[in-house]
Amino acid sequence: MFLNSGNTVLIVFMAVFVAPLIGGLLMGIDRILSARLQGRIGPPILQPFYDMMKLMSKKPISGTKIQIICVFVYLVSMILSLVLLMTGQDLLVMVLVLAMGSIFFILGGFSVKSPYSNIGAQREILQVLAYEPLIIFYVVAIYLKTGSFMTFKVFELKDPLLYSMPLFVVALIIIMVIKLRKSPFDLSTSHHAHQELVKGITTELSGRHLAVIELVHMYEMALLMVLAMLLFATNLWIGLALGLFCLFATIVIDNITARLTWSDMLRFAWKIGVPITALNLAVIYYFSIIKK
Amino acid sequence: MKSGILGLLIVMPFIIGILCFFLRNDLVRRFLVIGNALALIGASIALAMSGNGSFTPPHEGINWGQLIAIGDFFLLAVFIYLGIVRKSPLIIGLAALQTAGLIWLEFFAGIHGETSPALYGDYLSTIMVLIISIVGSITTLYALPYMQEHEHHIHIPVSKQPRFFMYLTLFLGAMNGLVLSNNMMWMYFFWEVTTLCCVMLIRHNGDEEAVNNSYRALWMNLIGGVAIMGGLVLLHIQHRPMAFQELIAGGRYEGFLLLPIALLCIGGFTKAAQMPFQGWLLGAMVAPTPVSALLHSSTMVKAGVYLILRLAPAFENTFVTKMVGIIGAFTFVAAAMLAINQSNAKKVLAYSTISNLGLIVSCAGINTPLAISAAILLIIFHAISKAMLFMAVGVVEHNIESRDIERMEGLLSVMPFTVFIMVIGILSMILPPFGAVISKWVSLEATAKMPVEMFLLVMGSAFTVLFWTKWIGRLLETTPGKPTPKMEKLPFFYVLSFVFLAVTVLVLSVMAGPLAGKVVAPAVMQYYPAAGIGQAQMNLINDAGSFPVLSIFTVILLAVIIPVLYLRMKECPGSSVYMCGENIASSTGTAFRTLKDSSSEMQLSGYYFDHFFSENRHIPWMNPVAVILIIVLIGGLCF
Amino acid sequence: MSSFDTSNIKSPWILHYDTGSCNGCDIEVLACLTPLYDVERFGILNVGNPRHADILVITGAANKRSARVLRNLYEQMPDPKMVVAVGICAVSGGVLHNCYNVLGGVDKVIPVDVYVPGCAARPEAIIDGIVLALQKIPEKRKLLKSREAKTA
Ligand code: SF4
Repeated sequence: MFLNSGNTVLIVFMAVFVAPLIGGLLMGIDRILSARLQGRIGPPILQPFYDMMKLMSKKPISGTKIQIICVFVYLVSMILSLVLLMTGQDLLVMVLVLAMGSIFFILGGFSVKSPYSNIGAQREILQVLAYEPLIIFYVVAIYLKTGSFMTFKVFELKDPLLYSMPLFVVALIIIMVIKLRKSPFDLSTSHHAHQELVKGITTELSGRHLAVIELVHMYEMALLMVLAMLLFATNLWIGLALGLFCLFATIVIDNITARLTWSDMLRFAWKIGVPITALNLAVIYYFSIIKK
Repeated sequence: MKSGILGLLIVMPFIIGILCFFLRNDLVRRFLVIGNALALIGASIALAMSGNGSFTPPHEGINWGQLIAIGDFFLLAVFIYLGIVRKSPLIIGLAALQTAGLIWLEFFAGIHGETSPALYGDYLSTIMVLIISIVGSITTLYALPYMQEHEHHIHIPVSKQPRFFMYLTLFLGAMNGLVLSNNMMWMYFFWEVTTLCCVMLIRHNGDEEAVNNSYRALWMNLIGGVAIMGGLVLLHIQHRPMAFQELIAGGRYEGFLLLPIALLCIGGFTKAAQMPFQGWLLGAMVAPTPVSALLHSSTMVKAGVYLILRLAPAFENTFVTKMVGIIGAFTFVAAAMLAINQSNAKKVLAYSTISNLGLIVSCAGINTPLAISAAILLIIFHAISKAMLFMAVGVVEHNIESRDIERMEGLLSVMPFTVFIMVIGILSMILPPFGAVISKWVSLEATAKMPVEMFLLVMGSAFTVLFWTKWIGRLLETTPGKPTPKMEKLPFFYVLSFVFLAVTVLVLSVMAGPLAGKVVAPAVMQYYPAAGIGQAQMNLINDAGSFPVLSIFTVILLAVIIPVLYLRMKECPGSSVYMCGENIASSTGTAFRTLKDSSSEMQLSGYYFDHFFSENRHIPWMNPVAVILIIVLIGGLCF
Repeated sequence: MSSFDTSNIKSPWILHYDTGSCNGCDIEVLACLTPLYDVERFGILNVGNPRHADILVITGAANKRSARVLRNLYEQMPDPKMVVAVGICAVSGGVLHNCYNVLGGVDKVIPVDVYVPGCAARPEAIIDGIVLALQKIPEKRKLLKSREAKTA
């Protein structure tokens, strides 16, 4: 069903235009939820869009040309990876393109001789280092179940992946916390009113260049949702519920924890995240060998 | 026809090398080197056109076998002599061991009269010849202006260039010979020639460090030589053919019969600087840059992985394949991890080479058609990117008198062109849709069914991204509001080699689909039932996935070009960076007010994670683990 | 009102700078963020970076040391930007007026759009002041545009 060309156009359209809307709404929900958890009322649900529109209208005075180029590449590769994911392309390619975006974002941060943006960039590398193995293990686990790296094969499975990869829900939450830069791992830059080293890697961006980053966050949110939905591809509504559950967990964690150091993050991701996924992977390996 | 091409590829560099040594005129040498490069490039393309097949040199009065044997003895004598000069029993012992083996083979075992062809050029060999002849020749061209500047920098009275270029061209000939040899005695001869050239080039500067490191390179490579000699002797004892094609065609082996193949692989490990033999390649960075560019990209280390790849079909589905896979993957992770802590650019490059070679070896060890394809792709792309990077670092080193990455801070505004090349080089190692990443993608998909290797590969890839990104970050650092820098002036051959390699890596990356389908797949199919990899239009596909090369490339290109155009039209207003409002207007633009209202310059430096990734912390366990892995490899076959 | 103006009003990000206050006003500014007043209802965020900020909230009188920092911060804010002086110190120098190191109100250093008097200014007053500043934003945008047209 995914290779039908009319369908593909529709999906690409969804990925490029509808996904950021959904992502933005989720970000709005995130802000309201966070506010409620703190006993506040919180902003309107459309707040992320207001923020973005406002940033668009401002006159940027930011950074260097290289950073601006990098920010655009960041946006494009984020969209590209979402398109790759939603059109059922190779998952590993999707992960690589995603990583490319992050690398450009980091390079943008480095390209300005600014202390905050520089430290933010250094830490962003560590964030990538922390979640990258988890995402790849997730992809490998899917491969072991479907026998292919192509995403659309997931939809041909009879049983949802969740049954055989339950521990990856935990992994997804860890990925979300790190990827969305939520407490306790909001090291490189942060959401909401949190501040860490000013705004870390985005310190030198302003106006529409910062708006691009906000837009990327929206796509990022949508992408993580789709990734989570893969776990329950047989019924996408349950998949969506699963994704929302992960997001909810992430928000709760964000609000009940304080920021940790980057070494804590690496230790956590590699000493807890990696073993958990490895355990799940080992079980899958074991059964795929027994089957043979 | 064929003999002419092969003569050009193997014998001509030897002759030109010797001419370079004796004709001490600068201009003549220039012509010789350029002529050599052109001839090699032409001949390698002609070889690629002429298809593959075996070749035995005509006898016509010369007994080639005997000539090779004489050459072997000569080389071993040189090694023993070097050992005596150094008063190193280790070197003498290792060389003597090989001599003993050689004497036995030549005089007592009677290996002559073999009928198999001495040379055999299949797809794999042809790919290697292309890499050696093209990337290697470009390196020799780059060396022309470089060595002039180099001698100017280190102030030596008498030019040592004749000697230098002799070894450089010899190296290329020997490498071509090595990858084209079918007869293992020939391979062994060329193998030792590359060792000799490598050692001589490392000690070229003649200072104490260079000499010490060259001896280290010598004994480590001699271990490999001993392993190979051991393998050859064992092969003969077991009455098996001492020729690659016949050995591979001989079918599967088991147990003790695999031992000679394992020994040959260990020889490959030493050349490919796999842990625990990584020391010599790290030491090799004291040599002038063209040497590093040559050793790391197209020659020497590639000889090691070539040998393992060549033998891979012979140990498919055996104990050896498992161990080779793990040893390679271990090296991949370990070297990438150590690279993080380095601030010496050449050392980072060296560790990255070791790491990439580990990946190639690991692919050879996984030994599925898909993995072998990944290995070949990696060899191609790694050679180009690494040559480019070393050359750029060399130019930078001459300009800032340092190879410290921290000193390269903000280099973009000083040497934009060189830095641009360097950034392309690095990006081509870590970013899709560049070839190296496409190959890594293939290798990841190939390992997905091998838990241990897959785990190590994923970790290693993450480390790789870390240290490369850190490095580019240093280069790109610019102060906002500074005017656009002017291009620096570089000698013609620098620009030529930079542009050529950059264009090649771009074109080959875009053409990754056809490259895989038309070049790599046939190379794999020669020894495996399927290729596991192919092309669908311009896309790269394998059994489990597909890489839409062209579409990704277009999208990313647009993503870069559109903002560039946009910025050209609209100058971005530069201003100071945020420093808590304490900025002071100054020429640097990065001064801030500090204690007692005095001004201070902002300084930035990279993370090096001394607590996590320092050599002192990790080498003590890595080397023993690597040694144990190799002992297990040998031990598992003996018992 | 264009949608840009709407969004400008709906998402004011604030940079709070203390030029030398007694901390009384600072506490009141922070009080605005607490659940009782919850300014995030209006999309107001307290950002720590002039590049991201729309409104500069200043507490305390301008003195010789803080003046240059204030000027730097003001310059690093992207247009259209608003300045709100909070507390009588920021408005005129207040009790610190005529101190040897005090220049006076912050309008001695940078242009101020809204004055919020009080010692200390109450959170309600501060929020009021910010709302006033927001209402002036469309005006300021127009002004900027006409100024730009003139220079071009
Ligand atoms: S106005 Fe009053 S409370 Fe505010 S800073 Fe001045 S003295 Fe302190």
